Amino acid sequence: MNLSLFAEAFMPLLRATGTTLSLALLSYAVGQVLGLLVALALVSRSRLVSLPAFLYTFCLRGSPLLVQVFLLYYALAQIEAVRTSILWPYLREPFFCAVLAIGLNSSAYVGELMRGAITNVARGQWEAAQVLGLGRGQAFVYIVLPQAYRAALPALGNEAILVLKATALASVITLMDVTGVARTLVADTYAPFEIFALAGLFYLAIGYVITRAFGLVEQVLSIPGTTPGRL
Amino acid sequence: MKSIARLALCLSLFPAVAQAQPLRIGTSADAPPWESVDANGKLVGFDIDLGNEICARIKRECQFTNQAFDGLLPALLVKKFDALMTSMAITEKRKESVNFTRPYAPIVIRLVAAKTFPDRNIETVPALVSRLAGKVIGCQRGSTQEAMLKAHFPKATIRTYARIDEIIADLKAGRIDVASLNGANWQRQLVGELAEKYDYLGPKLSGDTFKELGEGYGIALRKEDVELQKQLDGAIEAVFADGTADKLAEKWLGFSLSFK
Repeated sequence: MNLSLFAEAFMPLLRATGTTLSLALLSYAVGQVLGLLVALALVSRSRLVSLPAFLYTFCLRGSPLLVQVFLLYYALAQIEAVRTSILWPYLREPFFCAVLAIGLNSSAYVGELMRGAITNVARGQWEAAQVLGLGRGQAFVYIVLPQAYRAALPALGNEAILVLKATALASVITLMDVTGVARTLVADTYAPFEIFALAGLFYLAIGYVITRAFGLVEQVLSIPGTTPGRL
Repeated sequence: MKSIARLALCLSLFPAVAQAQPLRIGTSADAPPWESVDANGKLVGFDIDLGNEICARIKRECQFTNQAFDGLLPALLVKKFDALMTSMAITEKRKESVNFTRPYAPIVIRLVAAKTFPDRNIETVPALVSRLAGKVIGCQRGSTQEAMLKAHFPKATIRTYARIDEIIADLKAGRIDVASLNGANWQRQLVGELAEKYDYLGPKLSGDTFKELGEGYGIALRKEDVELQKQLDGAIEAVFADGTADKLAEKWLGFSLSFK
């Protein structure tokens, strides 16, 4: 145990939190947008729409994220057609690949959990909206979706923390996030305990902020007169 | 009296028993021809053969274990291994935490870039440094090359990888402009299809010019294992003296091990 190592590693790790945070935020955003679309497809009555969505979530949830990151970064780049495509300027960047891989993976989980949240909104809500003269689309956007999101908030907070931790995998494709910098520092100093412990604390700190932020949102969006998270 | 004699016999046997323990050696088998895994999953390479020769001289069995490079030194320190033999450069920084045997091979680093790299006729180190400003260079994480590149090529972007095949993959994909590996690795890698499109860039980079690269490859040992270090130093000297090391170098590296 060497305390001076903590001081030595602190600033490089702090600088790397910028990369970790932007990876996490962008991946989460991608996951949310695609995840809602996946959820919509999953609840569709048409098999033509719901079956591809089912396969999508099955593949992305069923294989390790690490494998997906490797496939997207190393395997795709071996295909000549990909390297000459208009997407290559993006796909050649490790940052873009990491955001895409983590975002796609997250969207599969978000799709499933939003599917559950949407189908769990009471039938009566749909009927009441209809009685008030709202169309199906209007009822979905103004009545059902807000309630689904409120119910799903704790799970979406969970997902945010999972995405944050998933960003650690970005270090395998050369990105210098908190884990990437920690691994480099360990390779330099041979002190895995001190460095990784400190890196872990950085993740805990970010995770704490995420937890509090979602708690706050839950409070603001709660049904007046109730305490969110309590019976 | 008899029991005392037995005890004495046991005690006299004890060092022999300790000697017979296999020497556990950690290696990152992704750097042919130094060390790699063959089609049958067996560890092969110059370090493996030389290590077995050295072990034979100290009358112990070598037990090589394959593990990622950046985890090797920590694993040595927590006694998962007794020694590391993994084309590891002897550097001041590493000497702070481990001891090294005498070097058993010199260090030569080569940069490789596409044949289409503009103005690729670069003869001196300063010219190389200025030509690589703004370029992306790939090397192994935690390697001495990383330290050297970061110190002497401040205007280039250095990307670090866990494995050599990942560096080659990104060189081919065009994500990095230049790849940095040691000369013997390139001798293996720069063949066939890769050699058609890629070639060496600039002069050889060695430990004489860049102190970060270290004084040669050595076997890393824990600081307290002074006795083992003495034995291994003696064994290295022996394999060089009788020409065994040169034979292995010819077989695996394709160049002589002379340090000059």
